[in-house]
Amino acid sequence: MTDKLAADLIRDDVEQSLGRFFAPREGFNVPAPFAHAEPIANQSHTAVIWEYSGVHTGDFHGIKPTRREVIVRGATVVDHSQEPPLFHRYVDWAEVMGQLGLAITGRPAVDAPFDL
Amino acid sequence: MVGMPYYYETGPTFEVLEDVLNNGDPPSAPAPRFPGDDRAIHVLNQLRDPSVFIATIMGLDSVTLNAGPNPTVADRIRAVNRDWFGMQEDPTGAWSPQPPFDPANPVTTGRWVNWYGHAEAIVRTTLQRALEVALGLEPDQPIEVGASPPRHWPIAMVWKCGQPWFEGWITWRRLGAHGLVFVVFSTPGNGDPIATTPLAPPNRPVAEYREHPVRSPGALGITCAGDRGHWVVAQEHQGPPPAWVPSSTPGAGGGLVPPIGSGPMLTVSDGDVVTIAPSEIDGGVLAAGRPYQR
Repeated sequence: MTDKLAADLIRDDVEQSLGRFFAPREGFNVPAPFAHAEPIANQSHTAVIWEYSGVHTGDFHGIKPTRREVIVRGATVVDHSQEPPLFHRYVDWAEVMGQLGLAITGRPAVDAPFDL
Repeated sequence: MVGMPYYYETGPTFEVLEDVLNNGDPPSAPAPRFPGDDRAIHVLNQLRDPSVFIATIMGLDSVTLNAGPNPTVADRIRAVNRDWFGMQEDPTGAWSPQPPFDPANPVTTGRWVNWYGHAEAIVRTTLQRALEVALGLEPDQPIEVGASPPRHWPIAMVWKCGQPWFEGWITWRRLGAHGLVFVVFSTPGNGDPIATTPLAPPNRPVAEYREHPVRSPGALGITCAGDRGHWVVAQEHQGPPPAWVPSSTPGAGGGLVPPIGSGPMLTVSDGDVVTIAPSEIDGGVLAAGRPYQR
């Protein structure tokens, strides 16, 4: 698999996945620091740092559409040493939650608070 | 007001504050005049005076709080002024209001996670309104010590944490000639850990703790025989689902499936539904309350 093909697979993966929840505004792109560089790759793996710009238009696992504009940031590493290739996806979901107006409780849940 | 292992709690400090506001159990009927009326009116008038620190009028000087996690009056005042209100203490022990919000150097109020605001004013106004409701007064209606308020209903205090911003709620209910006022401080989290189970560990010496169904040998089970109660009903355990794994299928599985509903931010409750009366130190209440005593 060429690096170009792996990068295209990553783009398709992001657009298919996120497009269900976030209608594309500017859609998929590779952010500025990496935009003009070749994919980070070796013989078995290809990595792409990406952003996806969209509008929250779909039910996001129970969160009704807010019409908010969001930017999802992530990185995907494709292991193409096997068939089918394996996708390792790292997405900054905490930032997405903040953009959607979700908040954390400020109380970490632990099994044994009395032992801390 | 230290962190407790539940989201919804009363505990020793609020029990004493209840006693300050109620002075025991005031009669709910309009007459005769209750001796505690004067204390309630005095506290109300102090709350209406912004130059009076709240921490000096909420019963923190009660010796019945000395056995808690803040054993001195200074410790307790510091916990309120610094941790709840974001006030600043100088080397002489004098307190000043929290600084205005600075977008260039954003900090939170006190120990509240991800929130900046005027907690002191919210607490002051909430307690003021609650006392006005309890005494049957209109908002800001003047009343002097020695006067007879139209009524004197007891006030119950609760702290609920874990929301994005700070609120005070006042709920009341008349029952014939009687009534009851509930005050809920609904606040952000303070970073203290929450237990993933309402059950206390079997080896923890928690005096008033009760549970149903009874799990531990020798446990007594819950009872509604006391004058006060504070129970939680929940499943035995809460926790995250298994972590996500890489996927071979574009668009499905792995990190690109949004975490809510399927990922690390999902909470799964399991086990039997139990009814728990937490120990007072964990946010529960004593069956007869905790008195204010100097």
